[in-house]
Amino acid sequence: MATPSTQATVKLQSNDNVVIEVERAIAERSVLIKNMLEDCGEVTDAIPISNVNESILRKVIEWCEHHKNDPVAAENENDDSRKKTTDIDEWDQKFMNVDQEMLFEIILAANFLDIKPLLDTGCKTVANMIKGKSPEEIRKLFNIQNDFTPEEEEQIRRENEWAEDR
Amino acid sequence: MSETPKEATNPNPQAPTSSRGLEQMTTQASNISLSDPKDCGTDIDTSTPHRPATDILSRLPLEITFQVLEQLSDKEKIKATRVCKSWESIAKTWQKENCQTILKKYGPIIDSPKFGWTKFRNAVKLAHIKPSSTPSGKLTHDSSNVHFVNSKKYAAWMNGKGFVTARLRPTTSVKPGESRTENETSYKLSTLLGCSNAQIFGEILSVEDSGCVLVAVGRYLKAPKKNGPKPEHCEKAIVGLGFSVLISMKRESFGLPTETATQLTRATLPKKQFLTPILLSTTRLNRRSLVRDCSSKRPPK
Repeated sequence: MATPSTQATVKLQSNDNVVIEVERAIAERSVLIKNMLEDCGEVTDAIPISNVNESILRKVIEWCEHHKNDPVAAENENDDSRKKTTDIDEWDQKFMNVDQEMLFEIILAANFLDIKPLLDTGCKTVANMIKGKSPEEIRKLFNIQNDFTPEEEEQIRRENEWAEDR
Repeated sequence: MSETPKEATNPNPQAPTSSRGLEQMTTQASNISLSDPKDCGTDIDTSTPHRPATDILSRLPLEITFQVLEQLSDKEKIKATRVCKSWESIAKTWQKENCQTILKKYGPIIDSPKFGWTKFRNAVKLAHIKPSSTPSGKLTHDSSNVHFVNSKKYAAWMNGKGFVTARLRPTTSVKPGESRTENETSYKLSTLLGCSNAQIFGEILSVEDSGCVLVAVGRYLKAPKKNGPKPEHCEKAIVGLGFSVLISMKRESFGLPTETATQLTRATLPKKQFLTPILLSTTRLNRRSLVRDCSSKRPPK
């Protein structure tokens, strides 16, 4: 076990080789980085985050910065409280108001860096985009091609018609 | 539509990493790569090929896709299967991999631990029956396999073999492990009418808060065959009205004179519903013709 480090900042290197210096407390919103720093002690070189490009990394850091004082959820608390509601606070809603490609990248980065609350917010954002919409509206929003044959579509429509809001 | 869900695949080339793999990391930060799933451990199987769909839900790793689905109600999950084949596959895979959770929630409705999409869908459907806002019952025709009609207290639906009646719980929400309906009782139309099951079908017209269920009974113009089209697609004609009484007291009478049944219908169904073609066609026929056409046996008294 390495000696606990007292360094105030850490450097993160995106996959397009941009080094960003952030407060350690902010970087430690990522459980991946937190565990690594605990294991490795003081790290002076930039930590390569090879799956995440600069713009996404900056975006993730922005989220971590805003939420740096949030209480860390206990491990067993996660599943229940996370599933209960799709409410997203106002700041997070604005934060997630990005194009779908960036939303996709943020979700992947949150999963990769093990930032569960950010991953949750991303998943809730996608879920909220789906909720209350008709299949046609969903296809339009996500640019999805309807690949059912007319017969398949008719059958699936008949089977699931009751689930439509009336 | 196949009962067995197609295997949903994980198209994401970027395998997510958990902190578990960090034990394998070296102490030099410059040598640490957080991108290699072999070093860092993976939560999601990435060995399967790409799905053709390019939308966000289809591209996310399956585990994350499930996290999105868990934010949706079961009804929304079912609705999502209509979007495209990829979403249909995702939802059916979710059902397959969450049987225990589903059983915990819909146990009273799903009677077997081994079940597929159809049973799940019907369980969600049953759990979502809401008390009708009209005291005399609400005529709801959806064209899916199971037709539900309900009053404030009771529900009835056709399940292929006959019709089922149940009492509705007076709760507004369904809690895990609790279904909306209770005291289910099945009635075989063929038993009630004393004729061959293959020749007749029923259509529930109304359910009364008194416990009465009004059923339009018809016969297939050509009896459905094993390998032929599904019964609901066969040509059929309504030939009479049946009247099952008092769900709560578990006794039934069937085959009131058409006049009585029609009077009841006129008295209880709103005008718009009364004018449906099905109901109009029943007014010209009576039960005698049904029995004569469907069976040589005498109906039960």
